[in-house]
Amino acid sequence: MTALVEVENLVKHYPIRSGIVFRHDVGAVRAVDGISFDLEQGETFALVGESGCGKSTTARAVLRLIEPTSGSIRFEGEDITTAGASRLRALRREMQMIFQDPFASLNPRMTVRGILREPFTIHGLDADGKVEALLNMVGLLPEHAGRYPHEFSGGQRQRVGIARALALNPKLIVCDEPVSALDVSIRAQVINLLEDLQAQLKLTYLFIAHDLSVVRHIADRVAVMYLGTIVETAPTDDLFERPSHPYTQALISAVPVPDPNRERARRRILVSGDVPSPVNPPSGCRFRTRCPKFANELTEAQQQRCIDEPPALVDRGEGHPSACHYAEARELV
Amino acid sequence: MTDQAVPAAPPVGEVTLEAGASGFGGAETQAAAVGGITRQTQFGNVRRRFLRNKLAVVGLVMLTIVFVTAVFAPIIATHPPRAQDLNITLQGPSAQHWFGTDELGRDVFSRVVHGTRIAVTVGLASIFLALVIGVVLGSVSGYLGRAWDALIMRIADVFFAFPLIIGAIMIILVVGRGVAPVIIALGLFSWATIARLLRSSILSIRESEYVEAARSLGASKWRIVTRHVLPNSMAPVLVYAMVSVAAAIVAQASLSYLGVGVPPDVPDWGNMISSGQKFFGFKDYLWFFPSMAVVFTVLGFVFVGDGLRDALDPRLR
Repeated sequence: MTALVEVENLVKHYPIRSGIVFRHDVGAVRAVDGISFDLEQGETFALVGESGCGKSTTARAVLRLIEPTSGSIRFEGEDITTAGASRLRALRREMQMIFQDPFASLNPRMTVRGILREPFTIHGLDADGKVEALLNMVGLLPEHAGRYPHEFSGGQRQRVGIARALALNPKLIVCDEPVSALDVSIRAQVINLLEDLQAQLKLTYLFIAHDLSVVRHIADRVAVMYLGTIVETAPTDDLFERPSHPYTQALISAVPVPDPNRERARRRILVSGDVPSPVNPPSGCRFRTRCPKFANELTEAQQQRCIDEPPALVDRGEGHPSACHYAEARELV
Repeated sequence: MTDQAVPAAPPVGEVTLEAGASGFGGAETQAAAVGGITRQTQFGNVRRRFLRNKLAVVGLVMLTIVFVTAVFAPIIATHPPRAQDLNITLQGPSAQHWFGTDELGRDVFSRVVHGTRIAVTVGLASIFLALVIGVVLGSVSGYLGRAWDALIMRIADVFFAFPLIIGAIMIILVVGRGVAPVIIALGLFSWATIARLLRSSILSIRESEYVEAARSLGASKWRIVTRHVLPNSMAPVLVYAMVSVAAAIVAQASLSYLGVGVPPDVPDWGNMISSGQKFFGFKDYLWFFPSMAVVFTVLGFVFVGDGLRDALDPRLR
């Protein structure tokens, strides 16, 4: 397996400007603050984390829908952070995106045929018969082509969104919470469709989610993000069975267990407080202000290390990298 | 697999019922419904909602009367609008002269009919000009943003600072009187609101996921603006333009009334009201009929504009 995408030290800061006549920067929202990861050919790599942790910013930066502040993104070995407009247009055929909200991601004034023909028109390709083939591929009928998005259910719309992403036969698809806007009853269908398509078309997914049960089902590897940084990354089973960062442990322990006896018996790890502002993140370890381990288990001397020194994302003997000075794998039912 | 492959067409019975209730375009809808699958086009939806609104239909009928009058003015008018007959000055409405005659013995009815041409021409042409300027500048301002936005919006502020009539008078003073100067003057002082309206709706549309999707497909700026942004942000602009035509017609009549509009010999409602007011209190038909013509036309545009706004509102879908 070779890396399809290599992200290195990606940073995206949004400047906060002040002043009307003399505009000057007074700070920055550190949406993404130095993250690195690789996507292997054909795998599903999930980015998880709560709202505002930088998942979507990362996803859009990988597609260069957002210009990163610094860092590099290599696609098949080529640095695309410096690619010019025409090269970027060609690269668009290789990487596509599936959006979160199927009610917002389809132009309400275009028919499904119009929406699905557009990728071909843009790239000067022949679209004859392609629309029907795409609809068929995502489980819709050819006669749906003449309809407008508002005539479809959420799940059907998401299928149209998936068909649009597939149109140019891309290698990479960034899925930005593709099922979180859908009814629970529809989620499984769309997830299964994504898996079938991956097998059929050898797609690589960068999968953004906050729903851990979905991630556990679909992902090969997972990275957990907190406040613009990756705090732990591991193969899916390893992460769920042996989470070693307190934040990951808290996230996993928040997933309900469908068995009342086990649910009552298991130990919950609770996080207190709110996410700190990404304008002014805590010194040292960014999670320390909410960390149950920091609050309950560490001595004062140990706490001082969390305050002074940002923990590196390295393997501390737990089998996978974790950004905690006191990482310790725990089994959580 | 409840999610798949089930045609989302409404039951045939429902469609037939709606078509029957609206009374307009029913045959077509019914014919389509017989085929089993109802064609639900955007245009069809808008038309159906528009025709269900009684006031809008009334407005449409009024506008139809206005346009027919404007087009066939020479046929409808009973006398040539400029023909004077000093033997029959200031006569009240009669079988011969339906709306009476003015102080030069000209037939008021024929002049009101011909006045429709000026009113409709100036109203539509000036707002068309305002639309062209407003849409171009509003799109640039809203989509390109930054310095363009700042520059265009400051220019719009300058135009906002002058009331429509005052601004128009200034232009006419420079250019001279006539139909074309009035059109240009009213157009120049109407685009700013259109540009602002469009800019604000573009600002929200350009952040939408379908615009982002188009960007991720590699679409050019031109394509994104013309295919995705404008079609979704034009509805409020078109409604506003419709109502603006009414405002332009009133402004045009006001300019004539003030003596700075079209030349005085042109049969025009404002001119007629202006000269008719000298006989206020005893020859009221002189100003009454042209005033009613203004009211009738303006209400027609306002009703239709209002109906369009409701029909285009996707929340009422």
